[in-house]
Amino acid sequence: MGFLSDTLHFILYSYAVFVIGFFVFVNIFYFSMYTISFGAILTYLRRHMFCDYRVIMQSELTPAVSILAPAYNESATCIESVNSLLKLNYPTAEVIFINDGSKDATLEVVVKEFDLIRTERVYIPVINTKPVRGIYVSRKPEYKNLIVVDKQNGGKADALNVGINVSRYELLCAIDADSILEDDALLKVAKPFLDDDRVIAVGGIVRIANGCTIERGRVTDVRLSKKLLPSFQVIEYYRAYLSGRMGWGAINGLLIISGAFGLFKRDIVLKVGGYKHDTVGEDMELVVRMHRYCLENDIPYSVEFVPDPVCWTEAPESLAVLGRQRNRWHRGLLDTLLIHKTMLFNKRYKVLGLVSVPYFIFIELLGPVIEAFGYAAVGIGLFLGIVNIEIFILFFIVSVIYGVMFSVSSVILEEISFHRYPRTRDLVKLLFLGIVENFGYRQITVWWRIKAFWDYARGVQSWGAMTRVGFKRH
Amino acid sequence: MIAVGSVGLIVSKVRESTVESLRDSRDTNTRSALNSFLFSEILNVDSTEQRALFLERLIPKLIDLKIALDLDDNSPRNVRRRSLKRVMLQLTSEVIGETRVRLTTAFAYFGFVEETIALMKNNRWWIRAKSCKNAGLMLNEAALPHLEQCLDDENDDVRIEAAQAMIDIAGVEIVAPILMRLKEMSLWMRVRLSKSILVFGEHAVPPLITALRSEYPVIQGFCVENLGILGDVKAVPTLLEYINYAVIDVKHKSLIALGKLGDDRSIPIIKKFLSAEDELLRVDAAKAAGNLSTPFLAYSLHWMLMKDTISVKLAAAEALSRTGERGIQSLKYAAGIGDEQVRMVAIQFLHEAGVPAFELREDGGAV
Repeated sequence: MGFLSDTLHFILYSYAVFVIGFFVFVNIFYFSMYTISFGAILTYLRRHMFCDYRVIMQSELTPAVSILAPAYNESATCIESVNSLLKLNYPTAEVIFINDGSKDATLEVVVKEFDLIRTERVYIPVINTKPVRGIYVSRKPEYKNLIVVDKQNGGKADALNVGINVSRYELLCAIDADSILEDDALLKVAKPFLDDDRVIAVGGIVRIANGCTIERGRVTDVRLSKKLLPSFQVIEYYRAYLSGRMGWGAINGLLIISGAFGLFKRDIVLKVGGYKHDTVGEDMELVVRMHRYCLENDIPYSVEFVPDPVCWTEAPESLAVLGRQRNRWHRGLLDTLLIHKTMLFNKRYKVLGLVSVPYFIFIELLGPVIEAFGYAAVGIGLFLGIVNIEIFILFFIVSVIYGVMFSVSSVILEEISFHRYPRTRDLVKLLFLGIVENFGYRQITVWWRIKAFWDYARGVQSWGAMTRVGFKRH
Repeated sequence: MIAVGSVGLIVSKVRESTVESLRDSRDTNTRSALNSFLFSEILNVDSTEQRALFLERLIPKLIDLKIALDLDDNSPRNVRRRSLKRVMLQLTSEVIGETRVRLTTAFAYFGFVEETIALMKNNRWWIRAKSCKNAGLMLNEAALPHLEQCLDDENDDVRIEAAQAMIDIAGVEIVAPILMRLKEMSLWMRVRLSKSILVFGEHAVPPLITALRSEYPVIQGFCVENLGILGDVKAVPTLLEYINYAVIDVKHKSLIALGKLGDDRSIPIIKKFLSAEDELLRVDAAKAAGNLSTPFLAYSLHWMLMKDTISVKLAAAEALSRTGERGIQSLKYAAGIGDEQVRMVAIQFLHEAGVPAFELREDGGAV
């Protein structure tokens, strides 16, 4: 009995030391990333002062963009989405709407609304995809930049690959058909390609539209949702984008460009074979493969993040839907990191191999596991009376303070840079939620992410139904 | 720390509107004083003598303005000065003619030009870039040598703002010297300068032709693509001669430019490039041929459609679809006897040229 107790004591003690070390390391890392992000945002804002986007809009030299919008069963929202994409400010752009074998009337609705006719356009499957059933263009000149592709169902990645095959222009913009882009979003996200010809991909910031007012496909009044869950996600998105991706972009270690809004150089996407269709993290996987391709072939390149071009998306408002989303994200992360595991600590891959991949494996991927074990260890320790309650409370308070500090820092970063929420009341609420999210919400997200390991092991490949309430439209 | 940050943030958010309203109010007073200086008693400044007289009469008005600004406001001197500079810079886009000359004179009188020139040597790039931009708005020739030095700045934005400011101050005459001085150009710089240069229309053609002598291919390429965009056929002989010894990147741009210019004198050279070894050159040549819409290239394009790679086939078919009846006949022929890929390409462009698919299928001997 004494031996067992000693062993347990030793295990718990060792784990506590490990967790404290991990905690210190993670927070130093976050602080460094925050500092880099802060500097990168300042540089961005300074460069922004010298950029008149109307010049990009009017120039014949601006690289043309093919916008890829895959859709599955989107008959209710597809017309508004396509109209919104067609109205984007950009000199030369084509909108390729891909109907991924929808079971509802998505295709019929689009064909009728935009007066489409089937064309004899050549489809060259540079990337292998499910069969294309037809390519449609409009008879009306005002929709001459719209191409609608009807294909057999094959998932989002397959639909995007069809879009890539059909596209004609040098830049590809992948977006979710149900997202809303701001008028100048495309101009802003294209700017890094003008600044530096080594840029191969640029990610744009995604913001949460719940609570905002939408009129004719445009966000006209930005405010926080009255519901708690979407508001928590606003802070999470701030942390992920402004404190995280901005910093990763600055050191050329950005692994994720959101599937909801990213711009890519078409020739590199074709060279790496397009999106991988048997993973749920196809957006991250493509970016990692593009990095790898350039590094393995000694091609000078950069992957950047722009904090300003805004893509608005609807965040889940129920725990069940949010849980499915987070579970999918974590499975995607796990899958991508397993596919590219050889990059870990491989100096051939520079920042990616030595910093980004280790960070994503040990902090993003395994962080929830370590945290969950920590909760379990504390529970066992308290039960057995071998955890000093004062030390535990102190550690808990310190960890909460750190959590709050990073949340508040992200809100501050947003406020000094883009301040999209004009109301003081919304700002106060965000700061308050930065504290509250540490009690309950954070633990639930840990559980969802741990469950993702189990689902991945079982071979679950589904996206899970993403029920959406719909934007508040006027 | 968190509490301080949060409270500071909330306070600054609340203060924001107050600070803005104070600034607006100060700027309104400044603008009012400036308006009486700028818009009183319009003078003629067409000749040198008139100009000298004008400046002589302007000085007392400037002194009046200075006094008015000093008396008008209780705020510290540097705050008033910032307000004056801000409002004057805003006004640069609102006034023209004699009023603009008054504004330019006022910039120099109040010492803003010297101040701006000094800031062009600042350690921080955004201050240098801003100074170059302001110098362009102040339209003072004294800034030109300093701006010229900024063309060698390590920062792209500084170089762009300097070049832009020089064009604003000195006009089209300075375009060639700027281009000859530059060693590199980002696409952003090309976009910005292109807009400024295209404003001059046909007057921009000679400086762009002069700058083709630059030793840097990126500058040569910039000149070529802008000659194409300008669409002035005066550039055709130069481009026809130049394309033979240009580096490959500039050859591509020259072909595209010749296509845009759409002059029949380009037919022999485009025909030559339709059989170039480089696939991309053949594509560009086919695109240029499409822009020319001449039946004289239909035969070459037809063979490219039948025998070449898919990229060239697509470009050739598109060109044929824009080459009138002879091109359409060629496409119909290809749609009838070509292999599967040729047929598909031909049908696509026949369709895009307005020949309905059902007609193709039924008539044609074609399909």
